[in-house]
Amino acid sequence: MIVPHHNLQEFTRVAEWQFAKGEDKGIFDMYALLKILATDCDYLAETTNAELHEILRDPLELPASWQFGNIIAETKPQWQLRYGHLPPADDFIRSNPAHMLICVIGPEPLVVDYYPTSQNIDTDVFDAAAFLTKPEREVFQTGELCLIDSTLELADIVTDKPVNAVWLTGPTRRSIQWLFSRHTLKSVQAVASRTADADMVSLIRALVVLRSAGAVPTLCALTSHANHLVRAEALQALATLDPEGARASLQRAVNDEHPLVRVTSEKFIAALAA
Amino acid sequence: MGIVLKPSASGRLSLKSFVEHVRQVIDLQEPDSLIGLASPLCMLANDPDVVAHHFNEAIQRSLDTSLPPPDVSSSISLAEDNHFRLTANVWMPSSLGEPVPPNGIPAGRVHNHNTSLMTVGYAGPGCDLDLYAYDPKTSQGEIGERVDLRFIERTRLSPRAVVIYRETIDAHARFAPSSLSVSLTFSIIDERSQQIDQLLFDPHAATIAGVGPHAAVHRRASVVLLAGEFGNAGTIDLLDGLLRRSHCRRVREAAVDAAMRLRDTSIGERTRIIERALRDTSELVRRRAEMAAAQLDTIKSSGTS
Repeated sequence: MIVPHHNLQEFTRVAEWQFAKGEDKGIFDMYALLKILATDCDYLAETTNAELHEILRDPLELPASWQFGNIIAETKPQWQLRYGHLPPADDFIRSNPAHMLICVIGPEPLVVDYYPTSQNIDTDVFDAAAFLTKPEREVFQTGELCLIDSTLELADIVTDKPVNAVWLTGPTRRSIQWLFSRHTLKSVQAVASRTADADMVSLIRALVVLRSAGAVPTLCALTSHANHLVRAEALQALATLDPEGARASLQRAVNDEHPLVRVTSEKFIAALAA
Repeated sequence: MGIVLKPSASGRLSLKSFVEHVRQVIDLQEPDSLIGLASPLCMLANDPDVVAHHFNEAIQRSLDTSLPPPDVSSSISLAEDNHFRLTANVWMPSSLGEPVPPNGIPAGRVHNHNTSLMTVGYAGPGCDLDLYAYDPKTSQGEIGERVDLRFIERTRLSPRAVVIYRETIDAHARFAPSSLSVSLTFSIIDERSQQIDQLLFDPHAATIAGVGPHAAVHRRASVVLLAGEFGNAGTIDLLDGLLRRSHCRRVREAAVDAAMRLRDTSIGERTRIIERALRDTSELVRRRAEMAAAQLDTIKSSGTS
């Protein structure tokens, strides 16, 4: 493992202090420091060279920070810094569950399409009626910084060619990511923002398929999980695996803050009564 | 092609007994020995509680607030040591915007493996699998290169069906199941796999379409490639060092590419790298050097650097 470059250490110290304040848009105060780190010092070159030294020193070393196409420079609970190629877009236009700051290293420019939305999508309550309108394209040249404010329009990074960049991602602000069709610009689905939450939903469903009665206490605990998709799934699983025991959890969930959880609990309470 | 087996083993084997069997009876240096493990794996899959127990534990660990909670994954380790890994994997039915599975390869993409592994259906209807045979002797591993890739059959990883994939030569595409399914996968861990390709194929064109993004060799080569984008004057000597000393052809190939991308590098320095790469033992690296030489000739004739 390489010793963090002194400029990265400085960046980390300030970022930790900044994010500890808990301000929603505090990430954007890191603008100047990210630009210095990315373009006005030898951090990237020296760190890249240090990584090559590691391969020469131990040809089989494979730190978790070496991702395909990019390197995780630093990961903290509230933020992550990466450099390399920005990840390619997929079939959907996705909402931004976290704020981001991207510094373009070049030579390819960064192209971002900013889509105005028909309604506020900075919420965890998905609405299938939402849609996007014609985007405004902005091009960021080498050395420029792109701000992605997830409370504003939806920013879709266009990666026809690999774009070299350094990017800072703030904490995940939303439980769900909204997916829009690239063809119709209509919303099609919401998915969990964090892969771990999507995987948690998969595991809960698997426990139902496996008819695991031993999982009931764990499922009860999951009915107070931070992610509403997990809470709703846990309630469904409880109602299937232990209908009588599920009553108390279902009753509590009638007052859940999220409508999906409330609807799920009401549906299963009605089913049990029938 | 993958080897499809339907062992008739009806008994049950505990996880502990399975692991003991692996350690005492199976020669993990010999991939063919996986065939001898098909029945024990099937008997382990006859245990209806083993997977639920581990899933439950994984969720509980993620809820433990006394420690930094590990993220859960849809691939849960049941047992592992330095030589093997046994995982239980959840496969979800097709849905829009589904997350990429743990191996980073989306459903439907034909790919091979950099290690030998065996998988058994455990619960649910199971994924459909298209099995292919790939002859690595007919190609160098370049993206876009035509390969000898033959479709063999479509099968389904239904409960107790076993499929063995041998390192490199057995390719397959996995399709999302009609409803949630669980499989067990036993993989051999071998230091050699650190340097073996994982390739993605285009079955229609019979070409190499990409590389497995989670395979060690491609992640390491990708770091070398990035040095071509972010490096400085000191980088060229490190790339030269990798060309001289690395035993991995993908790392050496990436060193040539990086040298051609590196800014503020003289034609003389690039020529030094290319000349070394033209003498490389790997045809893949030599080919890359020939392409780089042609690129350099164009630069020279246009008078830019």
